[in-house]
Amino acid sequence: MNALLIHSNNLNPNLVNKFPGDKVAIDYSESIQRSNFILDRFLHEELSNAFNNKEYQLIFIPYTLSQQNYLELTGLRVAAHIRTTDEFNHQYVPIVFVGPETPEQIARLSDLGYILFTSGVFSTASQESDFLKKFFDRIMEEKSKITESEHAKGIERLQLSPPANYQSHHSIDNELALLRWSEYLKCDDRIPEVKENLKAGLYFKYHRVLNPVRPSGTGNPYLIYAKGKVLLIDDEAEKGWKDFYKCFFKHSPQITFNSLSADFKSLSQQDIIEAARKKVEEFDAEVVLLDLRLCDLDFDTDPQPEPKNLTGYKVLEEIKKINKGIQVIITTASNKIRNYLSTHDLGANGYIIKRGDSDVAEDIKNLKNEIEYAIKASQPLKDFDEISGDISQNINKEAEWNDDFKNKVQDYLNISFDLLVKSFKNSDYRRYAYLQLFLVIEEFLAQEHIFSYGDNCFIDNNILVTHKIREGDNRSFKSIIKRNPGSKIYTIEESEYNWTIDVNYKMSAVLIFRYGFDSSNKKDWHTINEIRNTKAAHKGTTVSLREVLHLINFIDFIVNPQNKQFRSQNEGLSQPSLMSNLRSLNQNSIGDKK
Amino acid sequence: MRKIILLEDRPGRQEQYIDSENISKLKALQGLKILLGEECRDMINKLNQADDSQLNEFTLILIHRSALSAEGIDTVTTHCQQNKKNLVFFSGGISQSQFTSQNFPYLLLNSKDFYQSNMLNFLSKFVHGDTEHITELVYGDSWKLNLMLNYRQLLLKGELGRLDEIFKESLEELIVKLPLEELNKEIKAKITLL
Repeated sequence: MNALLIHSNNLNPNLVNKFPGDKVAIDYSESIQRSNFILDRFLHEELSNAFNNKEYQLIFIPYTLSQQNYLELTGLRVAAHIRTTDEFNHQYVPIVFVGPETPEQIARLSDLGYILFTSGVFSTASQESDFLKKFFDRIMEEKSKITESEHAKGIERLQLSPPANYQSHHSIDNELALLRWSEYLKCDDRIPEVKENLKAGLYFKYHRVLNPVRPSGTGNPYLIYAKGKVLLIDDEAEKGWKDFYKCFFKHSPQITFNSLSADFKSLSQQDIIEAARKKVEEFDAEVVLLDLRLCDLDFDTDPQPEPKNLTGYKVLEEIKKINKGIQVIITTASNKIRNYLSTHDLGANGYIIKRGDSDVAEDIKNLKNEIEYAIKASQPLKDFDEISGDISQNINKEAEWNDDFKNKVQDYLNISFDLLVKSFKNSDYRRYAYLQLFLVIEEFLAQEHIFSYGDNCFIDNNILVTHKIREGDNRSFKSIIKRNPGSKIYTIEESEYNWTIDVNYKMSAVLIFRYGFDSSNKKDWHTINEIRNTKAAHKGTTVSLREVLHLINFIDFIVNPQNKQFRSQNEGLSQPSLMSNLRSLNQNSIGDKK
Repeated sequence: MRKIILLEDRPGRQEQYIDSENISKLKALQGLKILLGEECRDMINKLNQADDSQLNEFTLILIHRSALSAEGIDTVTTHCQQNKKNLVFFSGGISQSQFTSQNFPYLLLNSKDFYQSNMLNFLSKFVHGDTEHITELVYGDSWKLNLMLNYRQLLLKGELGRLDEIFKESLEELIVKLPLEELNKEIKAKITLL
């Protein structure tokens, strides 16, 4: 009889000894108390040995393989393994359960009892070898094999639940993605636990039959053309993601990779957030690869937490407080659009979905592109945010600035930052960022105490720099600063000024009289102004990142109170006398009458 | 009063599976010592270094298995074997409940099954000596049915080795010794009532 009897020394010895086929004892009673005992792995290995190079026509199994805990009903589990494991090559072979219970009774005792009502599964209470031989013959006549379609329906009926530590299907996708991506980069030898789990675990076998995945194929890590620091914050880092990324960055020596080492499962949400914040600061990351679900509470199912209550979301908030320029790529097994939108609104810079059934080559390429792009964007954005912070700090602590000015500057800085972020995908946005930033200078010059404009223009309400001589078409000013011929640079020299008191004039006067420079060609002011007028304001030209950073550095300089070096009032124009003012007024009115 | 110790290094998990009212009841149970957080980690570290002295006063030991190293697991199982104590290991990675009384009463449980509602009831009864078998923790009122099924398996087996005889005798102390026909009826009735 070409059949196999699986037992655990718990059947009548007469049956076992007289059974006219092969027999295998799968007895875990000695192994169960070992520290590394995992039932599914034990069963998988035993069954693999039993079916190796064999092709049985029928398999007999008792309902249980436990000698001391009948309700384990591990025979059902064995049958489920057989049905879900291609490697055993016996998934279409009929199975006969041997035991005094009826299938209906067993179904009341175990969720796995559903298997008893699938095609190709029979039962008998007899433990007589002669009877089993006749049973074998009858089954061979009636149902020697189940069809693929019957097999598929049978698997669906099983309705297995994932183990508790896979608290959502996202966890399973997470693990599958880890395995497939590691296989692709040929570093799956570093995740033996994960591999074994996915290979031998009954739920994963069941999941794979229901959701077949294409082979991952193999490839090599990319060379990432960027220099920077990448930090991984993932509760599964030690499980294999850390090793995966080490392999991923293998050919990119300019990338410094690290991961947050923490006992996530035993820490509270607040502790995790604090540990993450501290690590980001200490490591000075350019890019953070951030998982959304980092602690047990994130996996609650009833109700599911709102995106903003997920630990990863709160960590993202903290990272953006440290520096908005740090690029955060959300890596998650969740494809929920609401998670994407929430984190996007908070400033997340990329989103990688860890799926168990995707095209791995495409995933790896996307990952490389996201990280490369993020590293390139990070440094200038971090610099911008840092300088922006200095500017805000300086104007907030100085009494000379009113609230309206502070609010406007903050708005301009924020908008400029957002435009700069967009400029990495569309360089036109860099011109807009520049123009937006330049508004800070215009607002600065519009402050009365910086440059008060009128018939007499003052610096610091005190130093007279221009005095109107004539009004009308021949309007002119007496000016304490003179434009050098052939340039827009000003130096101190009394002169007659016949043009508009424009931004360049104002800032030139400010540079000379508020900051004590001997000419306006300091701090690259003229280049900055020229870029605004010839490049930023015109379509079809480009502004570089360096130029934007140059501008914000200039702004940082002019708002820093430590840079003030006022010249004395005497160095400005002499205050016009009352009589000369009247004479001037009279001349203007005569001129009008004519 | 019998004493129980529960070592759980993942307090978040308790909150996931048990509501706050039952957590309070658990914490208030006399005879039950629950170690969470830092205290739990200290104890786990000691066990991992083969120091089992702090287990001496307890009759029932409940530990999250994944918190222990292989050495820690050996320390605990050796302690229970030498002192014939009840041991329950629970873990999210355990796919199905398993029990053996070989060497000492040893129960492996999935975390979710561990924290089911019967846990509080069982522990309350245990400290007062009102439980008869550790499998009451996982099977509740069906624990006796399980023993009957084990007993029937032995009767159907016929010839028994020494270990099986010892096990059969231990079962006969807990359940009424019935002939097979009567046993079948009892089992059928119990299953029908589930």
